[in-house]
Amino acid sequence: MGAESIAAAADVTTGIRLRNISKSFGKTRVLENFSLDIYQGELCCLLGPSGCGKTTALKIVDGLLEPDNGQVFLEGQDITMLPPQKRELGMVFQNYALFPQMDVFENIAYGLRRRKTPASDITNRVSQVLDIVRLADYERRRVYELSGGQQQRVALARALVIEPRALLLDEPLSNLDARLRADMRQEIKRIQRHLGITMVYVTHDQEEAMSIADRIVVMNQGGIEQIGLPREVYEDPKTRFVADFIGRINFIPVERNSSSFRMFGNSYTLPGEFSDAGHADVIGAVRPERISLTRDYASIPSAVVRDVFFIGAAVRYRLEPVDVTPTMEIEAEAYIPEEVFEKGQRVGLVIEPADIKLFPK
Amino acid sequence: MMKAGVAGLTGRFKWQKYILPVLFFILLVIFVIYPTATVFENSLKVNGNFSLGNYIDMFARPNFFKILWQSFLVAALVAALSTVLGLIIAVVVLKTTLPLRRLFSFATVVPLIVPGFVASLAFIYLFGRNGLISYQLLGINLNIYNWPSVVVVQCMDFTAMAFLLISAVLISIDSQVEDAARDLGASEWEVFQTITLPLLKPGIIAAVILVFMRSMASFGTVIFLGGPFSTLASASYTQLIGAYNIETAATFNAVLMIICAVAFWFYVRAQATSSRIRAPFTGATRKPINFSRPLKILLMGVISAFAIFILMILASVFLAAFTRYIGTDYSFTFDHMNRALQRGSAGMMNTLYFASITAVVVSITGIILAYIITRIDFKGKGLLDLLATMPFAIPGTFIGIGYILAFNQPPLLLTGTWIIVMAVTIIRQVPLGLRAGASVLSQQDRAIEDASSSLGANKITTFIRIILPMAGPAILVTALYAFVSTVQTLGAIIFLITPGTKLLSVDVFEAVYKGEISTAAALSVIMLLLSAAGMLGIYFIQQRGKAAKWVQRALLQRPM
Repeated sequence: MGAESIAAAADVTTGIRLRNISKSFGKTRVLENFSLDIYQGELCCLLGPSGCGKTTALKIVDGLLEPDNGQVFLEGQDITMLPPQKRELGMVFQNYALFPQMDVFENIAYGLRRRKTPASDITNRVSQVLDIVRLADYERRRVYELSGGQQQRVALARALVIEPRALLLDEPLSNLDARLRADMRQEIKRIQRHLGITMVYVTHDQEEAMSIADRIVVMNQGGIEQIGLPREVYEDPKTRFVADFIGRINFIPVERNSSSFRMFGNSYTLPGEFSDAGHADVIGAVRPERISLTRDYASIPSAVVRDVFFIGAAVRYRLEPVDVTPTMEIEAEAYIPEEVFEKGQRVGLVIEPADIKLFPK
Repeated sequence: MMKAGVAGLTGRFKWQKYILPVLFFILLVIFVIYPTATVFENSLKVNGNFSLGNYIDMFARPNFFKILWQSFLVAALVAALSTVLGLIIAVVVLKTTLPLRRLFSFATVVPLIVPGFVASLAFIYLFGRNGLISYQLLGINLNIYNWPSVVVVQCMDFTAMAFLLISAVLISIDSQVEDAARDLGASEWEVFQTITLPLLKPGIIAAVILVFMRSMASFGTVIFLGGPFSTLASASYTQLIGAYNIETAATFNAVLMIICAVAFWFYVRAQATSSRIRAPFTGATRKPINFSRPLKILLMGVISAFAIFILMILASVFLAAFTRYIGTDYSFTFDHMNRALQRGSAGMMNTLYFASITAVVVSITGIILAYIITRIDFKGKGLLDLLATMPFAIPGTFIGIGYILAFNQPPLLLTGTWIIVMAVTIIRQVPLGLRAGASVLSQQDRAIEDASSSLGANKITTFIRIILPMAGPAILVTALYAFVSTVQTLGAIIFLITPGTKLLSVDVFEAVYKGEISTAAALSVIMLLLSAAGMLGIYFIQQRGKAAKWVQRALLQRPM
């Protein structure tokens, strides 16, 4: 304990630390030299497409999977060899994994009973946590009588009642319908703030990650693509994968020379990091809402409107740029526009240099 | 009939949709209700007059309550022991990483092809007066003709059933639920005790009740190994064959039937409750439970002993069949086999015919019946379901006596014909066909059938072009199970057999009865091989995947 507590004292802000974790299933490498620090009290989202290793990373933190290599620290203590029983982490499973033979009360009391908590304490703590998840008076309900959202709350309560050192959530909302998902998102965020608990939240839904996370870890093929605030990963994606995975984006071929590049006939200065010869081929990327359309196209690049979609607060256009070979289509979005262009109309394209991201091809 | 069926199923004319249900009703009333009622009627008759005399006599018999108590004792013990063993084996095979698990599960299901009376025979080879183990190896003279032997052999036989029932539930437990418990601080033993075991409850209850019923109804082991000990089933056999006292036999069977019906009612109720608390299966991979070392050693010891015992039983049948005289002369010989092939050839061919026809009829009837019950809406649906399931709860000797009593006068004079044997083997497998068919249909997406209808196909076309092909492998497996079960049937047919309709199982039974040990063994080997062929077929179809899920559940409906 001695050396570990010194390490913990030196490292108060790191809740969970993964160091050089590798994990394979048979011949498939799921995690490769994976390292990540999760801060005490933050809500950190692991975001990525299915198969990127996010759930595997979560299970390794929880102890349900053993890494082939690497170490896991919890508040500075090396827990790599600890079985899940001893880690004192809470986990919320994708399918809730409620105990079907028990009622709500017994489900939540389960962890307390394993800790030999006195009966009166159990009753108090269960009703407290049921208040937190807003399920008071549901103690004696059978779990299979509950709706999906209620089951979700029971799963949350069951994990929270043992006062875990961190809460791990594995795609917790993926079985709920869109509306409920949005509500539960707020609910989880509220509980996290209220308790100040460290949460690691795995999801493949970028919108969910953006709306709930303090920090997002974008994962792909067993590695980390980018770590940042939700806004950072959206506005300043560091890799082509992140740009593509988060939000909508147009990839547009560009011609480059030593100090500038051309897009739709316009010339832009090449950013410093691309000026060395290492990046021979680059591709441009522009978010749809960063392309503004004008009625006047006399002296600027232009496109023909191929389709118009009304999506509530915004209008989305599919556009075919003029004089670009081979022909291509791009997407533009305008929020609450003054003027809506029509199908077949020719429009001017205005793109600010700062809104163009370049990635190696 | 087919043509009428077309219109009936499309529901254009309301009365026509009743054609098939009514036809099945009539058949089931004739072949299930009528014989059942006849047994009760006969139990209530003395010299042709209604009287409670048989019951009064029976209760007045000094040994009746002893027999009743013994029947309960054996059935309850066998149910408890088989379930515990089945549970242990299922847990070891599916929930641990202990070595030799495949061998253990193989050994456990071997008795599915070894009928109780053959196992009894093997038990005598091994532990009897001149037994290989008791006398030859240990030099002791055991008296094995008593109730503990009956319990041991029946346990060996029925553990397979308990194992399959419990495994079916165990496989469907979501290991994420166990992981959740681990997360909440439960030790491996606590995970098993508080999560896995309670979730196995439906399987355990089913195993206890169904093994109890089968043990109650089985008489071969009691006759061969019980010595002076007797149960309701064995007493009814001796009353009929030994004393030719058919009314007393009917009375014994009536009591037996009532006990089985009550047990079955409990089973149905338990199934209904448990289906409501099934955990949603997420397809999470099954995860072993890491039991403590001493426990692992204990489990391993128990199931190794059990597996060795079964394999010895199996081996001794072969040994007896191919050596000159088991216990004294171990030189190889094919004489017994030759004799068996000669003497048993008629029985063998009959068994093959009867079992094959039963298999075909049952598998097709089963899916049609299941279709009628699950897809057509008509009054009396529940009753039809009940009638078709009833043979499952009826003990073999009961239905056997029922058939002799019911079909011995015109217009249904069937006694002594092959039709009566055929009818009994088919009717006994109907519940299997129905359950298998129903589980297949319940897994099929009804939208596919609706799609077929909306594309203009009528119900018959949909049935033939859509449902049957999708149910193909399942129907085949049902047929094979019916085949294997029929090959082994004894209790139901033993009273109905005439020299012209000999069956292999009866040949074995008679050879054992006459003390022709080696011939009995050789005949048993032929019978085992027939059953094994059927089982292998099932295994290969299951390996191909499609039929795997529901098959174990269908097996539970094997009649006694």
